[in-house]
Amino acid sequence: MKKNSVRAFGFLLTAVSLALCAGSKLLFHACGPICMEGTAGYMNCHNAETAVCAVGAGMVLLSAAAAAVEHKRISSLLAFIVGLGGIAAAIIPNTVIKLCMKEDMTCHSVMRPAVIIIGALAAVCAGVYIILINTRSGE
Amino acid sequence: MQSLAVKNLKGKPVRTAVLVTLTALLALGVFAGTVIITSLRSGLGSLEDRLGAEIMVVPYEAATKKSFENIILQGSTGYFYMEDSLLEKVKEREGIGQLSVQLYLASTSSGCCSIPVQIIGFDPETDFTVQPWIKKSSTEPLGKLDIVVGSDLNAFVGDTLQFYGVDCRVAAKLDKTGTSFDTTVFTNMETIKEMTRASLERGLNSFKDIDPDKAVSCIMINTAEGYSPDEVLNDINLHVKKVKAVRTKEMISGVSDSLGGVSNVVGVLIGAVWVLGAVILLLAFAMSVNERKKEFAVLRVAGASRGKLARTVMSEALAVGITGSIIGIALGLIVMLPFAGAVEDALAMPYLLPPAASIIGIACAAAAAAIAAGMLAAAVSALRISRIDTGVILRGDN
Repeated sequence: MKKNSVRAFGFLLTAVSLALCAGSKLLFHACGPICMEGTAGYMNCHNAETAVCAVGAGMVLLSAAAAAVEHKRISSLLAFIVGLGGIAAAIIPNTVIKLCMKEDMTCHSVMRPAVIIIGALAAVCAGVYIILINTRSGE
Repeated sequence: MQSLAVKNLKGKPVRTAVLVTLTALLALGVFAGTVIITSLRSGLGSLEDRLGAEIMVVPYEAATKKSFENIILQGSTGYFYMEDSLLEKVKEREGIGQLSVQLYLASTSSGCCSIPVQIIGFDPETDFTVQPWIKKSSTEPLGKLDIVVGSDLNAFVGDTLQFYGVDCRVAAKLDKTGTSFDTTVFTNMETIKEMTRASLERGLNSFKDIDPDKAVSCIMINTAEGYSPDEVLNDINLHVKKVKAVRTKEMISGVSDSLGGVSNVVGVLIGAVWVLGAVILLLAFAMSVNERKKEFAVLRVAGASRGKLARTVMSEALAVGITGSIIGIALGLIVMLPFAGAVEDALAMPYLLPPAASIIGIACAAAAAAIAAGMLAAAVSALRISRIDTGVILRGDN
């Protein structure tokens, strides 16, 4: 039963990381290109989107590795890094990289809350995964 | 007997999951719908308060175009101008109590994150519409190149924002109003004239044949005691040419009508979701009790009273209701609070979330409505259980 829970949370962690990586580009992406002084260009929020996607991609690899590795300490360490990645992703929009001027724009109204929720979810999943691994090791 | 209810729920995880999901959806629907209706009503109230003047006088061409309403109600950027000599003519009319001018300017997207915003210049000595709101955030008078930003602008007190190359200091940030003013920049006439000059140097903004130093966009008026707004409005429209006086209440009547329509639709949807949820739960409980007739008959033979059986069913419904409501309300909070901006965008209407205490109240009411629907549905099944004929069921005749 515990082994199944560990597997389930390992899978969930990878799925949440994937949602963060792919979602930031496809679902809850930043604002589109705008015309700036005659030329088309992207605003700052585009950099935040790219950073979230990159962090998410790293989290996907690490969470998949955490699920695959049998060694408990290494698996725990990888999951811990994924959890930190989730927190890092959550604070990227507007705290680390400033978003657009108006808060009614997509980057504020959709991307930022979605990244915060999914990032926090990844951190929680990573925490539960680590607890489950260590509980199992104590049996 | 309560532990028996919990054991029953655990023993049939799929049935329990379906019932919990139904209750969660019911709670989510009631909570989200009520939050939307309340926020729209708060937004309209806030817009009425925020306009602050009974009459707005604008250039005639501006009043006939949709752009004027869009600037005031939708938060679009734009500008229109008239000569300040018209201000003197308006001032001469009878029944004017308070009068103040405003100048509109729209910034351009000139940098990485500088999206166009509406800039409104006001006269601090006569203004009665903007300053009461600014005073809630800052008591300091606005100096030269000081600006006040709406709550939805990503700038904070002390930040420097650049408009047409003019560096301005953010002196205050306004509270959220749920209206187009949340994305507007306010400043005094001195600063906006400086921005206007900078915009003209860059070949932006068109004043046509109006002298930029003598241009105004809008005259805000409150009537004097003893005069009705309609009386003053008609007098201005009759005697002052090239301008149009508009009653602010009439301007927002369109928004109010749309809001009424949306509120009714959402209200009907909430009712429909509740009734549908209650009917589905009723069917689910009835089927579940039907399946478990023999189980209840055995319990009766084992000595459980009819009342105890009914209480078991009601306890199961209560446990399902509480769990489902918590999940539904939690989902509702996750969707409705962080994504309030997206909901506002989708509705394109003034939208102001109610205070935390009201949201907690709505959450409790939605949870109570979902639990009540489940209990009501279970009560019918509990009544049937209390009337079962043990002998007939155990013989397998029913």
